[in-house]
Amino acid sequence: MCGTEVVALLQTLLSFTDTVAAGVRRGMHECRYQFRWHRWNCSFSQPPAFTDTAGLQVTPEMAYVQAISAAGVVHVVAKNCSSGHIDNCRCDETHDGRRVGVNWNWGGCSDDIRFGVSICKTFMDAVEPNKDARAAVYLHNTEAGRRAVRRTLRLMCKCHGVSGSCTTSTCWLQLAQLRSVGNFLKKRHARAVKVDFQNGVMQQQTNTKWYRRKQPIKVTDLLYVTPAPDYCWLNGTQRTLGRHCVRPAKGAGGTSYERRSCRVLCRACGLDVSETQVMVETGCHCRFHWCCAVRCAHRLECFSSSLLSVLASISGDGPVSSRCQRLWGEPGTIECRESNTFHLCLVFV
Amino acid sequence: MAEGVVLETLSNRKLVYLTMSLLLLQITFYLIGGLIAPAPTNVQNILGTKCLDTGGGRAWTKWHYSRGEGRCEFVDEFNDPRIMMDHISTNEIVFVFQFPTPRGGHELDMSRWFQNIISVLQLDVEYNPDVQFDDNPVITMDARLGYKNKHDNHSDWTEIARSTEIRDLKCNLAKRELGQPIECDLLPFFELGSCHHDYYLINIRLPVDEKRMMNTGIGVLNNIYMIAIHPNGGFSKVWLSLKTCLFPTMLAVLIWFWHRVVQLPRPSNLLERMLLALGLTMAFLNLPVEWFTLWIYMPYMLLFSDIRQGIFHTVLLSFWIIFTGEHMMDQVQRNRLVLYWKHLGAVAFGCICLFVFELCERGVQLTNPFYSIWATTSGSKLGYAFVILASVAACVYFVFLCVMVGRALINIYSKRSLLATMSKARRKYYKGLIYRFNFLMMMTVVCAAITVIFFIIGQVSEGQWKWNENSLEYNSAFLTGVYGMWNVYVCCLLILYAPSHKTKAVITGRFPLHHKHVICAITLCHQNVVLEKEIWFR
Repeated sequence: MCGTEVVALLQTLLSFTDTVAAGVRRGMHECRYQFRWHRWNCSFSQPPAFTDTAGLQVTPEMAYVQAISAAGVVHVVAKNCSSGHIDNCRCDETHDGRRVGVNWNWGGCSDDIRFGVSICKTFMDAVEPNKDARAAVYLHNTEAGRRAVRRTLRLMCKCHGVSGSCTTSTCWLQLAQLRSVGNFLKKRHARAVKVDFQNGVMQQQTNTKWYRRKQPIKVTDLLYVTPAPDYCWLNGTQRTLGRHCVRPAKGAGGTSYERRSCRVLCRACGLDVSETQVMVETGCHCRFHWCCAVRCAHRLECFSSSLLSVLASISGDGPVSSRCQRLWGEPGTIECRESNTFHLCLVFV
Repeated sequence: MAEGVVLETLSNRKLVYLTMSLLLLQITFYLIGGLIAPAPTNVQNILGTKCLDTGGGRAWTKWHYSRGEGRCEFVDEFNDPRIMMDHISTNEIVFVFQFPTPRGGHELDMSRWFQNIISVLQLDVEYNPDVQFDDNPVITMDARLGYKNKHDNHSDWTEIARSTEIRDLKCNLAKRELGQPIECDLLPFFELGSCHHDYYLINIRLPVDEKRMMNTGIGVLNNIYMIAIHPNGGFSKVWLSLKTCLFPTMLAVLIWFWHRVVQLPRPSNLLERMLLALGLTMAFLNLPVEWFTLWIYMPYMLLFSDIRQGIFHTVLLSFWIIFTGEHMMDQVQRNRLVLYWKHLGAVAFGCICLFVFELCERGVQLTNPFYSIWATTSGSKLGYAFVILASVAACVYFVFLCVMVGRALINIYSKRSLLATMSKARRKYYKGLIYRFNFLMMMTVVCAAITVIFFIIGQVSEGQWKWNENSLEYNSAFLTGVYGMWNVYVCCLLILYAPSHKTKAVITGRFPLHHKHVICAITLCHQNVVLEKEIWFR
């Protein structure tokens, strides 16, 4: 490779830094959705630094974060290439990153997901400087994230033979929504594998409490080193204090996570479920269409002041008025008041 | 066939040589497709850009494009605060697909070698309890298709078509939970019979009209992907070269064949005329008119090539009927097309049904590329009616062929007992005749079987998509191989069934049929029907 080529390659890579950052953000957004009814709600005191794994405790949750971030990068790069907003996605990326002598006019371009995977590897794996156990786990988890994207791809086929018949058809892999990838990895998180290292060789610990595994580690498994801490109490503070949980009405459905949320978040952590009638000002004639809410008059979501003072004392948040959030609406239109029941985890008084 | 044909007089050694050379030719056809050509089609997966057309109604006043000077304002996601702040309504959102998308820092352009473009839509739908999701959701799209060429300005888009299209969404709602994805089937979008321009642009609006329940029950739509499928340039080049080579070859064989027929002291018989027709349709199929698409705008090419293939299939099916009929060992003097009116009627009826269907689908697409007969309920009923009628005709054809073959079978058994009483020379002659005849029939069966087997392998292998690609392009090999095979088959028939100069013996009877031949014919005909059938129900 001569000098100019290296420069060109570096320029190409540098132009992807924003996209990669957006991918990690998308991954974290997905993480917060997936863990919204968990004691650990994917919040960090500071954003996790992926490049420095030295001091990192790889818990099952951190394994999920590593995987979903990698998946988010693949996803966002592939999507941005498909939309044409990035103009230097490569045309001829093969599965092992090797360039082959095909061009657009002769054989078309390879799909964008492949390119996303290679960008993800470049940015998330190659920067890992360490060669220790944590690095190995990190590399495994990011690979699991990329595999999750692959495993959730949907095979689509279109017939286009004579008169639209199926004598010939073309198939391709369609990127699933990131939510599907998140769901896939969430299942892997539930049976993450604890590994330890003996003489530098990764070995799985078989005496895990939840899931006794017989088969060897698969490439889509999430690996962790440190068992999950007690997320009720972390660093001496009660982490789930002030979290909100739901009690779906009987027959209203809701997922098992939703139904269990008050028990898991409040009672199991030694907190009481406080049922509070909260005044919510909201536009009641809202109409939702496929893209967005339309014709929604006015909506103010407020907590009652007594509750707010409690919440403020817990979290040490700013002024009370910041809890009132104007979401959307046209001024001067009808406002209506609705009373909603909120469930919050509070210390019993 | 009083004079005998080349097949009867050919020595075994020559026959072996001929077979070997044809086999080699056949393998070459497969290798050309498998090693030289790229995959037959290329898939471009284009994510729609969500452009904001503030103040825009449903009228198409201007083009919205996502790249180049004067590009539209767009948002990445619908939860973008601007949507709420500026009160963007559904009618003000335009999905923009501008393709081809740039690669490696360069703006790519569509080549005329791409021949045609077929497009489908994939919707990313999400469940939200606040947004209605109907049991049988229907989506209404205002779509507009335009093109631009290399030296045009950024905004110089020219319209090809615009239309308001209604499509049924077939979705699988697994979990009724906030934010869970809903998997929907592909929507047929448009088909362009010609890829004549450099850049294409699609604008789609999904207008909401609550009074008419338009687009009110489609859930939350996150993204629209447009998948554009077109033949690869490399494949078109290989394919067209193949046709360009095959056309003069077929023409030469045809001239040689007809020259021999004309030289005969008697007028040509039905089978010879039928062979001529088969050769002519094959030559017509080989005619490389696609060369003109490189210079001339020919949007009717999809329709034209379908019709060409249809004519070939019609003649091939008729040929098999007449071939069996003319070799039936009863004493009826046939040799007239009118006598086969029932059988040919079935073929003609089936083919006319398909032709009308073709006109309804691809014919209408000439004026409106977004049109699909399957999009509306009444249209799909009509479509199914044509397909069912064609299938009925195919079944009738199958029954007729079976009856004919059955009668031939009976005749063979009655004639077979007479074989022992014949003179030695005559018996030897008959046996040789049966052997060579079987040889050719075996070829027919092998051709049909290979087509079916390779077709099935192709379908199965596509179902098990591998992430890692392989170096052999199976689909291209299938297409060039099968195409070459039927060319070889027709050539073979023309050569081996041409009148021979050598024959001295005069046979007054007809060809005796061996039962193997009959079994072959049944299998063949059955496979044929299977082929016809599996086409239509996808």
